[in-house]
Amino acid sequence: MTQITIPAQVVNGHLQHEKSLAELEGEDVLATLTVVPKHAPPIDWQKSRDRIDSFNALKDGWDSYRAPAPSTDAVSQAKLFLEEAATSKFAPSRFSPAVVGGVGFTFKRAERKVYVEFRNSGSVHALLSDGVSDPVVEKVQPNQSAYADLMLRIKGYLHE
Amino acid sequence: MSSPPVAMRANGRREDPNFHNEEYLFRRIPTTLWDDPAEELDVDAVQLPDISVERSKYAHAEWARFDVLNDRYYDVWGIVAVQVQDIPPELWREGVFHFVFRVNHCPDDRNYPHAEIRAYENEVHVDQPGKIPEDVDLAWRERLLRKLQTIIKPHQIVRIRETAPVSHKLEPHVVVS
Repeated sequence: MTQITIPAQVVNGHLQHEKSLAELEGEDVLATLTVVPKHAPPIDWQKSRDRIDSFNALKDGWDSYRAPAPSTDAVSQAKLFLEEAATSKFAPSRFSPAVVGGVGFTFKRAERKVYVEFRNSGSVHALLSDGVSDPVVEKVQPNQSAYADLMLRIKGYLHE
Repeated sequence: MSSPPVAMRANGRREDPNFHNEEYLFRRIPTTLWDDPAEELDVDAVQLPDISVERSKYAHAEWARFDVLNDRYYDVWGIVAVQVQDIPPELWREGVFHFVFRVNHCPDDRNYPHAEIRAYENEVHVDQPGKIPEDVDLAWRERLLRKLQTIIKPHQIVRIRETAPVSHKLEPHVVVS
C-alpha cells in the first residue's frame, strides 16, 4: 500500500497543501491527519554533543555509496558551532553527517530554513531557503565569532 | 538475507540511453540520515554528481535497497526518487562556471537498472567533486532536494517483487510491516 506524507495546513476548515499528487491521479485514498506540535521538545545539548562526537566513528562509504567520513576538523568545527547554538538557546531542527563529506545543521521555521554545512575541505557555508525562490548561499568564516554572528543571522532570517 | 531479483541482471542487455521525462530515479537513504519516517530530509542527504540511482523503467523502488556490489540488502532504509524532468539541468556562477546535469544509464552485469546523474562542464564529464565550487554545488543540491519524492519510508518492510516493471511508471509497492 503506497503511503505518502506531505506537509499541509488547515485553513478556514479546509486542508491545503502545495504538493502535486500526480502519481495518485484517479486513486481512492484514505487521508490520516497528524497534528504537528508547534513547539519542539527542549533539546538535550549534551546528547547532541555526544551525537556529533559519534560522527568520528563513521568510515568512508558509510551511506553504502561513496560518502566520505566526516573529517575530525569538520566535526570539531561543528561542535564549536553547536556551542554557539546552545549559547543562543536556539536548537537546530536536525544535524547529521553530510554525504558530501562533513556535517550539516538545519534550522527550520515554517517554510524557511537555514542549512549550515561544515565540509571536510575546511569550508563552511550557510544556505538560506524559503522553499520557493532560488536559495542563497553564503560563505562563513570558520571561527567562533563568525558562528555567533551566523546564529544571529539565522534567528533573524527565520523570524522575518 | 534477500537476494537481488534475477530480473536485475543485465543478461546481455545493452545500455539504454533513452529516458522518459517522467521516469523515476530511485536512491536509498541510510537510517543514519533518515530514521524517523515523519522527519524531512535535508541537503546533507543529497550527494554531488556522480549520483548512483536505479531506473524505474528497469527496477522497482525496493530494488534500490540492494547494494549489489557488496551483497547487502538494507531492508529498513528509505527510498526517495526524482523524476528525470525534475533534475536541475544547469548551474551558472557569476557568468563563469557553467555546469549541466544529465542522467546516464550505466548498467552493470548484476545491476542493469543502474544509472548515474552526472555533471558536465563544456561537455566534459566532471568526475572530481571538488571541481564544482562548493557554494554552487550546495545550491544545486538544494534544488534537487526540493524535487525528491518519498517512495518508501524508513522501517517500512516491503515485499520484493521478482519480475521487472512493465514501464517507467511507478508501480505501487506492497508494505508487509
